[in-house]
Amino acid sequence: MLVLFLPLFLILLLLGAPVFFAMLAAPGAMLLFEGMSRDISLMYRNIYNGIDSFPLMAIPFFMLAGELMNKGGITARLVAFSQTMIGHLRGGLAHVNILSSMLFAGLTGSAVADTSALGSMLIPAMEKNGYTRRFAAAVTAASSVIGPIIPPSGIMIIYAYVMEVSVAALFSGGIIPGILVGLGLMLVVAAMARRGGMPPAGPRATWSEAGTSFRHAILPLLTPVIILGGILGGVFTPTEASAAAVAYALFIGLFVLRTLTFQELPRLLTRAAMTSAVVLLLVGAAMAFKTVVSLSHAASDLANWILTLSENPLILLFLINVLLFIVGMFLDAGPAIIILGPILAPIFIELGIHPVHFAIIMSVNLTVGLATPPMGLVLFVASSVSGERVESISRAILPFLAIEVVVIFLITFVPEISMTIPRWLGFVS
Amino acid sequence: MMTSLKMLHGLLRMVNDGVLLVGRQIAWIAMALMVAVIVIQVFFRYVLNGALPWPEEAARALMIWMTAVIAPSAYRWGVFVSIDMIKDALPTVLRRMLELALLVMSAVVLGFLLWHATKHFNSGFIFKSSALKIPLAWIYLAMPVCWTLMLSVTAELVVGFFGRLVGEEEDFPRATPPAILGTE
Repeated sequence: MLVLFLPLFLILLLLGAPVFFAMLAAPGAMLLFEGMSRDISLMYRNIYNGIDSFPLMAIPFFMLAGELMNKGGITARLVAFSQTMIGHLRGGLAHVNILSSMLFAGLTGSAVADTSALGSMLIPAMEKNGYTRRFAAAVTAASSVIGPIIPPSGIMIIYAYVMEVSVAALFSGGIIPGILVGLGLMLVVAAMARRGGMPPAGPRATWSEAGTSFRHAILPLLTPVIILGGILGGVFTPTEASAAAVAYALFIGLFVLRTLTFQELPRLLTRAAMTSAVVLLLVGAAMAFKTVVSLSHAASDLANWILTLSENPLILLFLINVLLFIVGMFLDAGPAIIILGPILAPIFIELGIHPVHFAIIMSVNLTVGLATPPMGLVLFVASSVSGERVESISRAILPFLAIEVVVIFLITFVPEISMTIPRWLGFVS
Repeated sequence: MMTSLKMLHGLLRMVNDGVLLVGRQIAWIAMALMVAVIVIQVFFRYVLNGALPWPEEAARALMIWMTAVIAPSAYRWGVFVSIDMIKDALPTVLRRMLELALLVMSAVVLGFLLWHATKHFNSGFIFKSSALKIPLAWIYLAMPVCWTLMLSVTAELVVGFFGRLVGEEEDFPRATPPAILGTE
């Protein structure tokens, strides 16, 4: 009977209950109903212990680093750098948008931050150069999903913590998939440009212009080197690396570029604190939820049911792709991964899928869902940044989504894409 | 009836406005201290080659307090994630009933959380934290504070709900987030 908390949870969620309350109410109600009130105390302890974690502290720190870099003019320098690199190609600014997203992804781990930071700068610029606004908004939204795929990544930190996988392994596993998404999007832009659907590009940057933009961008471009080099080299823990990223962004913003002032800091700190608090409470609720998942044997019941559909892991993975894609349309990637990770991962690990590979599949799949109509979160952010209607962005984004779906399948069915770097660095055997 | 509802709502709003503002101030300071403490730790560990015993524990305590005092603001402004599509598609009467039911459910969950958090807090006087040597209860205290504030927000939402049901929309204004939440 206890297992009925899963359908109850789903009903509450669909009726519009905040995920945090639904994750506690459904299992709590079933425990009470079954007379297992002692386990409610256990649930409560797990909420608290779930939040009381040093590895999780990387989340507020990376969020803060993102706020600081965005405010500190670092975004503008990355865009200028991308512009001198590939701005002269046909469809140049669309390429610049995608490349900037890839570079930005190495600084922060959030698609929403990426959309609002790059969108507010690039969408007007693209419009001025003859691109339609909806196309500009669509490219921004589509490329922003690279943010949480290329490390650092908020959802990977959460997944690693809730599912007890190494953060470094997940971070390193996301590098090639993230680059693949970027290259795929550029391919679409190139194909559109060849068909003549793009305004002409600007002149190629001279060597001295390229040199100047590189000099301006070198400090921000070093951030991913510090973060990733530190974590993947085993020097820093992810939390220490994220604190170092904050310190570095503060230092550049306040003293080197002088684009940040002390007066602005309380506001930025408050924003980062608030977004992180919501995520941290969710993680706490997820830890409580997970206790009941294991108490109820829900995962094994569900596994048995799934295995009646097919015993072929490849077919099951395909079904999971579809499921995650649908979930991603309606739910933000963080909450989705918190809810589905504890339920789905054990099933597929049992079937022989490597935990790191499965984590990457889930992350990429749910992140692409962020840009998928009708409810994808970044579509709404892109709409508010650009002033274009969500419906028209939704239509313009379809070719980009198509290539992202192709990349999802590649990642799902070619494990080497996610596993080569973690193996090479010795995070998985 | 109408006036007392309005007064009650105004009172709850005033209390929540004030207390949650203080909470947000504590939260950003806690966040700044967390960064400072971990940067100190990084410096001691990698530059001076000797890690300090207390920074990680202090930062964890700060993070718990930060979460506890700012989450109620997020709840009040509707930052908590939910799927509103079906709810928004319902006819008005049904939607209102559903909204009330969800508020009541949240209140019940918060009541349970507060009860367990208080027990947890009381148990925290037995043990001292390993590095800072303070009773764990002072860290545990963050959670009863968090759930109490969220219950107070729920009370405001419920009173506002009934007020709007029987009275004018503008007499029972919803709490709106200041510009800090907007995108740049």
